[in-house]
Amino acid sequence: MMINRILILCLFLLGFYGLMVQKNLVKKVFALSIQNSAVILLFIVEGSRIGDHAPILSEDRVRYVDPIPQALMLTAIVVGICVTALALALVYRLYQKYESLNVEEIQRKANNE
Amino acid sequence: MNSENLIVIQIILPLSGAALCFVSKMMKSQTLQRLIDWFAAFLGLFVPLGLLFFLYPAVSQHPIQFYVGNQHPLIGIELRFDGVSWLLNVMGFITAATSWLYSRTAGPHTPEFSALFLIQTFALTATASSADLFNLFVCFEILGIASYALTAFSGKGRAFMAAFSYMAVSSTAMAIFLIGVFGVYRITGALSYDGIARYITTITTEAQIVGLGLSLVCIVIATAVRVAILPVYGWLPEAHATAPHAISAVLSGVLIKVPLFALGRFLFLLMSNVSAIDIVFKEILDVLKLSGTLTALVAVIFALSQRDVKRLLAYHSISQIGYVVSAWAIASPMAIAAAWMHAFYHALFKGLLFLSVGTVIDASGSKDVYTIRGAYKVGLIPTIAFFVGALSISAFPPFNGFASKAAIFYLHKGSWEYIILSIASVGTIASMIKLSRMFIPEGKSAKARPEYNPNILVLKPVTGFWLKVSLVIFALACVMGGLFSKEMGRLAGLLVGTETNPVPTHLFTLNSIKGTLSLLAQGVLLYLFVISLPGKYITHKIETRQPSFAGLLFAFSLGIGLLGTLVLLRH
Repeated sequence: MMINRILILCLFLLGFYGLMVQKNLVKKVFALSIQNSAVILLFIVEGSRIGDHAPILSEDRVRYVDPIPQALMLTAIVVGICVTALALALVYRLYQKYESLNVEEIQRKANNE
Repeated sequence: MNSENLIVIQIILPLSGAALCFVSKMMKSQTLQRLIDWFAAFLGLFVPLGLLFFLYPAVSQHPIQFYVGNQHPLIGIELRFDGVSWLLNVMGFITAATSWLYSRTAGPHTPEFSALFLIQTFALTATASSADLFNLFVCFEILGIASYALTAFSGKGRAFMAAFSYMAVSSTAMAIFLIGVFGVYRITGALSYDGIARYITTITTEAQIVGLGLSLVCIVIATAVRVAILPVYGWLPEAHATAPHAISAVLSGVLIKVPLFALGRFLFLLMSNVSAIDIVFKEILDVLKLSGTLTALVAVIFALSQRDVKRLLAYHSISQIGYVVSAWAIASPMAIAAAWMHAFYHALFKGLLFLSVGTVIDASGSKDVYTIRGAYKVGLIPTIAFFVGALSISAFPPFNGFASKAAIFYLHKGSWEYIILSIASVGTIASMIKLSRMFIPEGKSAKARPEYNPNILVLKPVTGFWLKVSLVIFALACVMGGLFSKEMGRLAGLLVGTETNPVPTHLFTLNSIKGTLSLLAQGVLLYLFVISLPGKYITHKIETRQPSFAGLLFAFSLGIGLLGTLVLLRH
């Protein structure tokens, strides 16, 4: 169980690192997405601690996963997609305007406007 | 109709307005399009204001709590509409409706703009009454997504970049928020505020206390990013400075405060049950109080150094939110009432300032405080509006800022926060004097200067009925808010559950006028220092310091690290 958490933490930090260090705006959007996925994985993995069957009510008593984290993550995934879509739209407009995806170059050009 | 239905209708109306705006996009006729837009805004912004009036009698008795659609508590969405929600909605709808009116003259006019604007307003009211951590997360995200898009609406390259940085920082913060939610759910097994409050009293083991403390740290810091206090305010100035003026008014006026009070509804409910984790709450609130007080001072120094008029105002928003947080973190009902009063009054005068300065920017084509001259030529109403706003923010009697700042100072009387906030007030006055330079008539010497641009200085009187109406509404609200501040204080006090009025009884006395005059004198001195040579050197150094992308995220992780370590060290 511990190894799962460590891997998820690594994934999250990878996203954070990418967002901070990558110069390319599209890669920054990837990093955002990775961060989000790490959190989703955390919820799903931890939700399966009490059982490993799909949460469908049936006659025989099986140990199914905690359904609440799964339900929450459906929403979180949708929200994540909205953020990614908006981010890509912004990147596209920035590229149209400055013909570059490099964040430093864009900031330099924007400040000279 | 019962009050539960009224609340649901009040939340849904802005959303239906947004849907109507998209319908209006399909209309071929311009007139029909505008008509539907107006109807949508009326439905989504003005009708809910009326509904609030009918909700008051019920809310003033006790909070209204229910599950939407009478669903089973396990699966339903719980809403809790209490006094604070009512107050937040009043602030949100008044500011949003007036700013929307302004946008009818100054733009953007497109239906998409109105739709996004209404979605943002919807998220505001939903945030104000959510009673469930996950629901709060979703509301924050909707609020965020709408505001990123609205920031970018001015179509300038800088606005896109500002929206992108805002989004990157705030999405990271929301991921951390979710981790916090996860921690709370894992330990208490509940997501609704009530459920968490019930389980929190049973927590005794050290591991659980630390775990819950760290989860709360995640939630608090993630919300602090939205509230924009030290050290995580870096995204705000650029975003608020590049957004369309009407949006800047709403962003600065309402959007940074609603998350703060929504967090308060959660934290203070948990604190009302005695539990082993109480000490963690105290620590977190102490840190927030410290951070808020310092924010008030640091941001005003930055404000004083800006050339760009909208950036100057944006830094002022950070500084004023510092006042609000410093009062809010005391966490007594009276402090919350005082914090709300300042938040509301700030929404009014900052809205007024952003809109009137925005009018001048549009008329002159420049944003530089040193280039714009003779701004009074834009007309009598914007000029008066500007000065009402400037006097309010500098806390001159009888304007509203005077009353709410007096309430906050009254809370801090005798503590070190009092001194820091007083220094910040001097800075506010000095930077407002700097901003008022725009209204100095252009001298002959200006034309001789090499950077003189004749095109910039051709200022024409602005026309536009709705622009003037919105300015008049805000200006009247500032004056009335000041004159009837005691009544407002009593109302706010009653709704958060205290009989004491946060506004001191003796407000307009000779002593207070003396105090204001001495602050004014200090402000003038500070201003004279800023325009002197060494002052110019220092302010230029501060102004050119722009937060980089990595810096924003670094500040965020620093905040989380520091607060987390504090909680860990104490246990």
